[in-house]
Amino acid sequence: MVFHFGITRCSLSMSKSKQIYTYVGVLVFVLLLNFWLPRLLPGGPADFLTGGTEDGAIFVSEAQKEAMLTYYNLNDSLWVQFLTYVKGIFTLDFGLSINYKTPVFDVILVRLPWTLLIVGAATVLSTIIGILIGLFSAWRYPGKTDRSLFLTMLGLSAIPEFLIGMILLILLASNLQWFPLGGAETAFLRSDYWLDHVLDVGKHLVLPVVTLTIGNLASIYLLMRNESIRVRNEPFIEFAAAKGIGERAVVRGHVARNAALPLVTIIVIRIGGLLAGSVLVETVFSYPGIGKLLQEAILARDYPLLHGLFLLLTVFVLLLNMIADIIYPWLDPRIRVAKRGDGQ
Amino acid sequence: MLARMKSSLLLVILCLSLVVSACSASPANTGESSSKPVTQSGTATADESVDLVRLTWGDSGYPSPFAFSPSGPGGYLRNSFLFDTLTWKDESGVIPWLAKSWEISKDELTYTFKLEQDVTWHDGKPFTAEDVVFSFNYYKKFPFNWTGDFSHIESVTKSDDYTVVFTIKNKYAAFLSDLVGIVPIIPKHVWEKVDKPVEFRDDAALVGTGPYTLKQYDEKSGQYLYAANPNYFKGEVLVKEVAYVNSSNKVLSLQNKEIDAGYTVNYSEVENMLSQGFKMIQSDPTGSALRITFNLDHPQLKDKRLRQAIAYALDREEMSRKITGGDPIVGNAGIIPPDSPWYNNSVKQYEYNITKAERILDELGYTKNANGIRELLKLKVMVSSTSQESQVMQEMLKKVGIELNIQQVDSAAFTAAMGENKYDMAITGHIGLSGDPDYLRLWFMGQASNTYAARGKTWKNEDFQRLAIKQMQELDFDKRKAIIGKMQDILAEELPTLVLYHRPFYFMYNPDVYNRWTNTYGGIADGIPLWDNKVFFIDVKK
Repeated sequence: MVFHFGITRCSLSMSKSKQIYTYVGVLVFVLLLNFWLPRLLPGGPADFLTGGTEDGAIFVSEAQKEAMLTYYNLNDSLWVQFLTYVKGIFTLDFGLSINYKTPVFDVILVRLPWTLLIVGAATVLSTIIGILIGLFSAWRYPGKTDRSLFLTMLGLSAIPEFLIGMILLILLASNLQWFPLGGAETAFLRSDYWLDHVLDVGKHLVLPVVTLTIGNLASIYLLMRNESIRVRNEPFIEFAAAKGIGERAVVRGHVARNAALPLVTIIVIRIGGLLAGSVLVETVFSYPGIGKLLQEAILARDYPLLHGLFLLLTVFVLLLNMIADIIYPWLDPRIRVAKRGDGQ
Repeated sequence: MLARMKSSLLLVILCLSLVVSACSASPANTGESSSKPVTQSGTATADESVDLVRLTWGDSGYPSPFAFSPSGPGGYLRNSFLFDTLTWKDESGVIPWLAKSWEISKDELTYTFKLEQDVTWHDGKPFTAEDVVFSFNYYKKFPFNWTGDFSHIESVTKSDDYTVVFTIKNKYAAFLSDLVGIVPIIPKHVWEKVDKPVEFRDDAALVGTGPYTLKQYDEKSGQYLYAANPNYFKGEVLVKEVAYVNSSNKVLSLQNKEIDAGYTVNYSEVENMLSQGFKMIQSDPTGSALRITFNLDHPQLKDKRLRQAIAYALDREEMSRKITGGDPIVGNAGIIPPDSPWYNNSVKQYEYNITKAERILDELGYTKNANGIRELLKLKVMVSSTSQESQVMQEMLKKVGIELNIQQVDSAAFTAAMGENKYDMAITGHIGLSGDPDYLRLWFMGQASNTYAARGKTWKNEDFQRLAIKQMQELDFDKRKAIIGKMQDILAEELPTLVLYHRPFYFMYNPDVYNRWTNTYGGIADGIPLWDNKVFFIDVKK
């Protein structure tokens, strides 16, 4: 946590142009990787399509296969394909998804809101719960309550998200049948009331969001707790207590506010982590978001779709980092002043 | 300062919650709405019509003839609800469909089809011979997404508005079932203006003559809702709506009444469902098989005696019983399932016989060392998903001293390795054995580029090749069966592939919702051993 904090401060002290160079550099590197990495996997999109599934054999004739390769320009040399790809980046047109035969942009657009929904909900929940438990834990520090909370959270952070998901799925969906087994909504639900649809989406939302929240909770809790304990030992808290302010008010008004400051950065950066976590969670709950799409695209070697998805994720994470960089000095006047001093 | 920070924190949270609420509002666009929730499935009324039947399958893509997913039979079947073919199949075999009758010329090279006259496209325009001629020419330019060997066709012409004449280059026994029985007829007035059919997503792309129209396509989850075509030429469509939903566990979904029918390959699941009042149909002929493909270029496996030794060493009956839980159907060494009309019951078979296996292996010079291991014989088997067969096989081959390594790779890598001949043995489970036996030719003569054949390669066996061509051109059932029988003899002796066991599919359904399910003779279209054949949803006028 402290490490992260350090990085942010570090980049803040860099000049603006240097910062931009770094971002552009990372972006270019990822864009290059984005093209070559999927092609290093054994087999190509045609192999996947002609491979069939457990359920079916297909007799794609050589003529049909040839037509398929030509159609998706997979017969071109790698360099020609690369040039097409680079052109695609600038025009934001990655072509047709090979598996879905639909423009990549549209394929992603249909699924993106669902990922944003579970990632958004998990971010909000894990932030609120993490901060509250963290504060409570610090308030009880040192003591048994703090100790057991601390150990529980450490334990939780060690369990991989997909395992949490599987356990929840087996217990709550399969055995108790409180929640649906998967999906984002009941198929073709017929109801004139919008409330029914919202409730339906909500019901499907619970398990994925809970899984992501549990996975994300520990890091926020740990940072909040440690920061709060540090702030608690600062002289100004002692002063506030000496003034005769009640314990609760001290925690709420002084400890919480000061400890939450570094949290903003970590929360923004953690959203990137949640996006990555959504790949596993969406797969476990067959939730139709871009995480599951990414997994399917890798299996299908759907190069154009992979390009689009990786670009989206890269830009997303870079943007989040940028937001963290910008937001921090704005929130903490001490740094803002220091920066201004730098410039003069 | 602190107030500012608090407000910004709030702002972040507020933004997120806005995103969240915006998202939860937007995707709930469930098309048309009626008053009943979908969980309430239709019940059979006096006239046998049913409001809704819910089935399960994964995403099969956009169901136009050029965009559906060719991976698995789902895409083709979704398409077949919207589009019709000249012939179709029901429980008795090939039946007239868009073509009400046909004549075959003496030389068996010309087929004259009389078309149904009261057929309209979903958009109201009349269907004529012009559409049939156009379709076949269009597919020449833009290949159809599924099977159907167009290279047999010399020409397609119309002699009047409701008569079409096909001339073929050579006699082709599977013409009625595997060519005109598979290829959907598309409307000329729509597609003549389309030059990028794969990308074509207009509503018109789904205008067919079929018994259903697509009411809703849930693209993100790959779920389909079909509505009956009220003016269907073949008779009243009994099931008014068919929904295909994604289900992660068919048995559980059936029990929870989330779907009305689904299939499994596991017999113990079937027993459980039967006890709960569900009904079951077993696919007949089985159509699905688990088999080993041997790499015939492998320095050791290219010797057929080694392949035969492996066949003797495998207790395939036990394997099948263990894995499926049902009555085992040991694989025919000649590939064709024993319950198929094309099966040759005098074909050489390889019973479980360790002594024989050991003797052959010794003769081949793979002697056992002190630990009972044949050091010179280390083989690999490649699988594309978790395969119980490969594990059972590993155990069984260990008994005769063969060390077997299992390589598990994903589907694309599997196909690529097959194509590049970078494997020793590969296990595949797939359908396609119940249809016209012409698949034996396609598999081994490099016609099919899929993993299930000797991919991209021809199996160099002259006798087999000669017979394969001969059976293709023989239209008389008995004569053709004799040729197919000889082909099975060659396959059984040479063992380019070893069928481990034939695996029946068990279709379980809730009889209270719909009970007109039947097996299609020889499988739907090119031999798909499933039950969602559109003909069983229709009250066909005879």
